[in-house]
Amino acid sequence: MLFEERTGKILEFERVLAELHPVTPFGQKYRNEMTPFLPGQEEELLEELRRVDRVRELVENQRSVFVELRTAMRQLKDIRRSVERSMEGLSLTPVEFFELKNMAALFRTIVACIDQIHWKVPEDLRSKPMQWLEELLDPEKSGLKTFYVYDCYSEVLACVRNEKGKVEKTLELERKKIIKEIEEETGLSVRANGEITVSRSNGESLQLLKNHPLLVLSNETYINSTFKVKPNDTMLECTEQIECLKGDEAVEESAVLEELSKKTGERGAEILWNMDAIGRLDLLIAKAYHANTNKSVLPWLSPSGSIRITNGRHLLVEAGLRKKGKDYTSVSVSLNEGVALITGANMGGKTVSLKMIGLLQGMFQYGLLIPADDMETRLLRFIYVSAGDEQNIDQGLSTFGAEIKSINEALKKSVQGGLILVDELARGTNPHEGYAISAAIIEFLKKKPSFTVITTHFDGLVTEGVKHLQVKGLRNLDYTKLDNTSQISDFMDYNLIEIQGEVGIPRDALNISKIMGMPDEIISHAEWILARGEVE
Amino acid sequence: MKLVDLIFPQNRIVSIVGTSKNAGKTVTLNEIISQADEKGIALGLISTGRDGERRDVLTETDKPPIYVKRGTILTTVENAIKDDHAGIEILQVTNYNTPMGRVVLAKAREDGYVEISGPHSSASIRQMCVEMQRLGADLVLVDGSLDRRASAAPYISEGTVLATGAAMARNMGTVIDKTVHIVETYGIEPVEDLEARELARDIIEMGRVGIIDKDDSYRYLDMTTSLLSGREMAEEIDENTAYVVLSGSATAETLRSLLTSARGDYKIVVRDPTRIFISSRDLLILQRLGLKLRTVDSINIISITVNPYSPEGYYFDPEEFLKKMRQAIPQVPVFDVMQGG
Repeated sequence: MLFEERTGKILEFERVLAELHPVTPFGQKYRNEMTPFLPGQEEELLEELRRVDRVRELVENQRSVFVELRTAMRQLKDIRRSVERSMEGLSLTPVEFFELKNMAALFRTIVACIDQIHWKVPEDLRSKPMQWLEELLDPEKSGLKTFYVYDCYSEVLACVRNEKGKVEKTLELERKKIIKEIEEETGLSVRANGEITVSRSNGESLQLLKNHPLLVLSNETYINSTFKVKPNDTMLECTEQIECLKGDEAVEESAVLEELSKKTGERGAEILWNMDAIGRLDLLIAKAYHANTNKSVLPWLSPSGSIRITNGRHLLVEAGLRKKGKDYTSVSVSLNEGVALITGANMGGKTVSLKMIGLLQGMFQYGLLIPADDMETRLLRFIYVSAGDEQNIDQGLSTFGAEIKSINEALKKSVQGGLILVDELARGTNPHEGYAISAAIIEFLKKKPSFTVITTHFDGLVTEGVKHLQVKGLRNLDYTKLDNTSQISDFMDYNLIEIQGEVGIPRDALNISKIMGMPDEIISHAEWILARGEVE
Repeated sequence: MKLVDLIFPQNRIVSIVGTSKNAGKTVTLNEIISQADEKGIALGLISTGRDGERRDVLTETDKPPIYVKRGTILTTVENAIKDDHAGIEILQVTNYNTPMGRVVLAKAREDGYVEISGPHSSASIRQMCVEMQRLGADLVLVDGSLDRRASAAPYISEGTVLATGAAMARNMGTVIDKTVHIVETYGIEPVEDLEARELARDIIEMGRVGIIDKDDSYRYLDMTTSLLSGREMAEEIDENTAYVVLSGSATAETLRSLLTSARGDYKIVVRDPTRIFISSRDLLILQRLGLKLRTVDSINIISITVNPYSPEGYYFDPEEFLKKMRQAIPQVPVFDVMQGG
């Protein structure tokens, strides 16, 4: 597992994966079962990334082919269970064969689309035409997409149906002949269902019908008598024959269905393989669409084993800002094994930058292109994030307790080579001890083969061998131009710069409080306290 | 003149609706099917779903199978396709789900019994009807389930055959009165002013309550349901109000509170007569209060069929019943399909 559920939640990784939209049930299954690539799988990951990038390019250049392909794919239904049932030797129903037949036709369209793509589509993505299945289910070669247990499946069936048809015709002719005779003799009209009803008060007609040799009383009420045509020997014989033939027909039909099921089952594995191949292609195309939507790029496997992100974007934050009509400032960052600290102004995007690093690394390991101008990294064993607001109420732990408990896991794993992201280390306790614990943790992680990034407000945590990144923040701001209608975000520079040597933590908290409208009285008092402290 | 001659070719989608259980709907349907067959009319059959009807536990069916001729297009459901029924060719498997499986469009390959069924919502029934026409049905018959009179809605069918019978009440006079009330309700006139009628259609499609003034200007009221909000509606009515348009149903309570709160010569408009739920007694009172009811779409009652027998064991004299029904409703042809013709 690349990361624990808790880290996944903080990164909102599920939400990013939910933006992948495969259109077939098979592709959706693959998406739900996606697993990350882990160290040792570099070759497989590179192949996957190259494929996504290739398809991304193709989607741009051959849009209409992909629209056609996805239209056909969208019509596929998940009839895996039917195929499996046929493989288990069970008999399928006509509705199931109807669906198989339609699927076979869709396979043909999909294969034709794949052939149009300007790419040597890898074997495992290339579904195969199923002419045998189409022929099996369209024995009359009518090209229709309907299904019926056709006569030509079995000579016996054709014979039985033919015979039944003949007998039914004989019966009908006989019935019509008799009805005609009755109508001529009685002058009364017989209804379409072969019945004739007279009022019992109409004694004359009643007597006539009662004594008629071709009629039999079928229903009697206080008011009416209903007669129906009395079947003669020919009719009785026909009816009996029809019943018998219907039985034969049903038996033969199920024999045909059984035979068709057997033939389908014998090659069922091919059908299932096709469904899987389409699922894989579908997910790949979904990744490519996702990459195009987010202007993502192909990441590189870093030769030096470090992490370098050029203008990376946190997709969810970016989408949120876009909705408000605001731009997202992309952030660049470069990390080596060991510890990097991010310091800087409040509201300077430290947390977002931290999460962005985790998200992009996660996307890389899930074989997705990266929303950045460039990214270079390597496969890591784990990603761990500890961020701000979580408080483990379930276990009755305070903010501090929850943080320490979870950070212990990360410390334990740090020898395996992973990404450890901690937002505001030891924020939940007194600054004095918090500082000491932080310094000790940094010292411990400095020598481990993992990438650790920590945001902090503590001064003096930067020691030899610790990288110091700082949010540019409000440093080029002319405060005289501000009024209380100003928005911090309009003046904030979210970029990170690397600081060499010892530099204090920037003092933006007062400025920000000022912009946000804290009373002057308080601000000036705070300034006075600060000034006094510095004098001392 | 036979029943089928009144139906076709004037109408292409026709619903058969019963005024009560055992009113003779299935007999009527079978009679139309066999008459249509004699005339060589290509039929499509659909039923307005199975919900609400009691199931026969023994046979797992809730409807008697219908005898169809080869070539008939029909709507059924997966689990109603059975070996001992007529052979059918599957034309389409739709995405509509029912407790009996998905809705399937099929074609009878031989004469025989089939079970017909259909999706639940009016919109999907309408869609299936159109689809069956596309597949070759010249006349589509919609078998309205018990108390699903909504299938008579003009939205679904162009015309309706109303089956009524002794099963509705023990007294012949009551059956006739109730039938007359249904026919009168169904016969409520559409809005005369064509422009206002289209405006009312728009308002109803928005699912809103609206008011159209005499100069054809209109406005929506700030309420989505017209149920029980008559008094609030009344506040918006003045001497310029020509129509009050209700997107939902018209019930006696709503209309009474509306009419007693706001007098005037405005008319009340509903989508179609199936949206009116007012007993004949209430209607009389409301009319004395000044009710003028109009619809956007009217229902075309093609014919009424009568069944003088009740399964409870009583019956009316067939000739008298037929005669009195014809006298009470002279504007619509009445048939007794049991008695032949």
